[in-house]
Amino acid sequence: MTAPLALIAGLMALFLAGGIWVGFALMSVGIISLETFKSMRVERFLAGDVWGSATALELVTLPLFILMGEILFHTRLSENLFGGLAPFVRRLPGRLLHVNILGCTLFAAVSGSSAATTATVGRITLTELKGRNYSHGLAIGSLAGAGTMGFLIPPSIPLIVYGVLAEISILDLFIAGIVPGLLLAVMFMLYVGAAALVSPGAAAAAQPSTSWADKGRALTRLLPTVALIGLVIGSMYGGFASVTEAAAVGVLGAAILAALEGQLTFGMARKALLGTVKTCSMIGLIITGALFLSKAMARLSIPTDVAAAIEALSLDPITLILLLMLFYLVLGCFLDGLSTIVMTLPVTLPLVVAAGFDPVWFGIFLIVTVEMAQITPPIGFNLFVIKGLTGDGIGRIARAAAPFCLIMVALVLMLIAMPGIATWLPGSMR
Amino acid sequence: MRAILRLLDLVCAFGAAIAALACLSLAVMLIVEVITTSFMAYSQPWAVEYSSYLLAPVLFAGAGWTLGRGGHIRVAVLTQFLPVRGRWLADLLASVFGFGVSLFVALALVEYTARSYEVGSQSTYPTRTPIWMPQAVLTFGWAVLVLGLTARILRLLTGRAAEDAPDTPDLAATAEPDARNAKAKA
Repeated sequence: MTAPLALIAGLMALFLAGGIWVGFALMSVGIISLETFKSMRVERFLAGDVWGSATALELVTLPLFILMGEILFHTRLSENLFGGLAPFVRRLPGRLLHVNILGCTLFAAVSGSSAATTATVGRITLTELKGRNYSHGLAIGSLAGAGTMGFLIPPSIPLIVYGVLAEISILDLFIAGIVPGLLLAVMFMLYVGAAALVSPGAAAAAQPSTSWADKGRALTRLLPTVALIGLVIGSMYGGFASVTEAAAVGVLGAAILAALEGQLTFGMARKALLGTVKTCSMIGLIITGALFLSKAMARLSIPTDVAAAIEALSLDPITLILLLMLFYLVLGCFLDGLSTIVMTLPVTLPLVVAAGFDPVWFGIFLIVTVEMAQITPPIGFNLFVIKGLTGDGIGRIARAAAPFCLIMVALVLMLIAMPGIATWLPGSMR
Repeated sequence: MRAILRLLDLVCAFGAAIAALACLSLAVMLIVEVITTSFMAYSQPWAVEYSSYLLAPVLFAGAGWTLGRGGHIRVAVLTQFLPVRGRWLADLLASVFGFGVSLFVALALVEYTARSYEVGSQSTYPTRTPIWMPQAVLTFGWAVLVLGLTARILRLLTGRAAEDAPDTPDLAATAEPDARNAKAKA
């Protein structure tokens, strides 16, 4: 290990363990290593870099997608998702449990955040499911698992951050997330169905099928959400709008939805804007720190050194990627997903690309891997969100989420075995 | 001490208001842009450039305010096992460290902005905006973050709670916006 790398890794571990904010830790490690090993005007380099990151055009989509999600959070979207989906899953094994999964899938397509997806869908479904005597474990487990699709199905905040750091097309990443996201939803539904068949007590008794008139009424409740998804994702994939324009259209659509429900008040706008500011500040500090550290590491030629060291081990690509998966799962026990991605990417991305992997594929692989960390203790944001909704202990929620976590492991293995799951759709649209 | 803390909180809240307004302006400007380019064959010549200038306050003007709400991510896995006194000390050290880093960045930005002003740098876009203006807004954001950390250190030293909301993940707090607001008012 070279001296700069040892210093960076050592300081990082020390600062993070000491509870220093991740953004400050990243930035200070960059400053200290440059001051130590390079004779340069670090403050000048830093100021220019902070200015560049704070005005990076690729990041403009970030506040827009976050604002869109915040506005939708204050509408009756979650009630409408439940009311709209419930009549269609009554006869499936597992019944209303599927609303968790389908609701999260739909909401994930208008929200870039897993925590927001979990919270929005869960605040209605969990009470409804409890009132109807569904298995509590399956209810919170399927919510925890399905909520993670918020990061995978576009728009997705971590995919935007990944795209900026990896300097690849955010649109390609968004498209690449669709098939794995839908695949995950199908696997979750199959599991819920199977679990309900194995233990019939898990789901409530069969209910009479609803009439077609009821089904039609239910569909109209879903219409606004579906229209919004069509508007945002459709305009992006159809090539009518850039990602930024699609995000702006999404904000407008969300505001119109809220206005139609009579929810677009000054107080709500204030809450949504401040919520956006809070999330953007958090991401801004981390990504600025990460971009600076990655430039500092490049100046100290750390990525090439690490790549050379790994190359000397002559691992085959599959072993490398399995080791990385293990590495990220361990890291996920200590760090949240976003920090994990930004902190490691300057080193792992060149490694993976040198081993012949597609950076778009790696983005999807990384998202699913850190997503698993979102529902495993001790740091699992989605677990905290569900704890906030139900008051269950973290251990209880994590146990309920474990089968869904295993399904995600299966998805990662499938992604490794068949990279086309992620790369086929963006490739075919080029 | 109370007056000082109030003043610092006020500055942080002002920064958050700037960030919120910047976010609103950004959204409105880009929505207008999409509509006019699609239907009226007109494009605001400043849209791209100003969206990047507005991004800077959206990302940083509210950073000090976010700090007071536990919105910035940190690792609590290890420090949570410390006894109360140790946790307090760790928090104080982390806050002083953060203060040092943000002061370094803020001073670097002051110098950077001042140089742009002296040289008279203009943007490369047709508007020829003097570049020190948006840079000053970014510098303001980092200065507010320094003040937010100052308030945090003062709170810790005088035995006050450092944050309004508990140190939970960001959107978990959003899950109960009303509870959070009630706490903020109390």
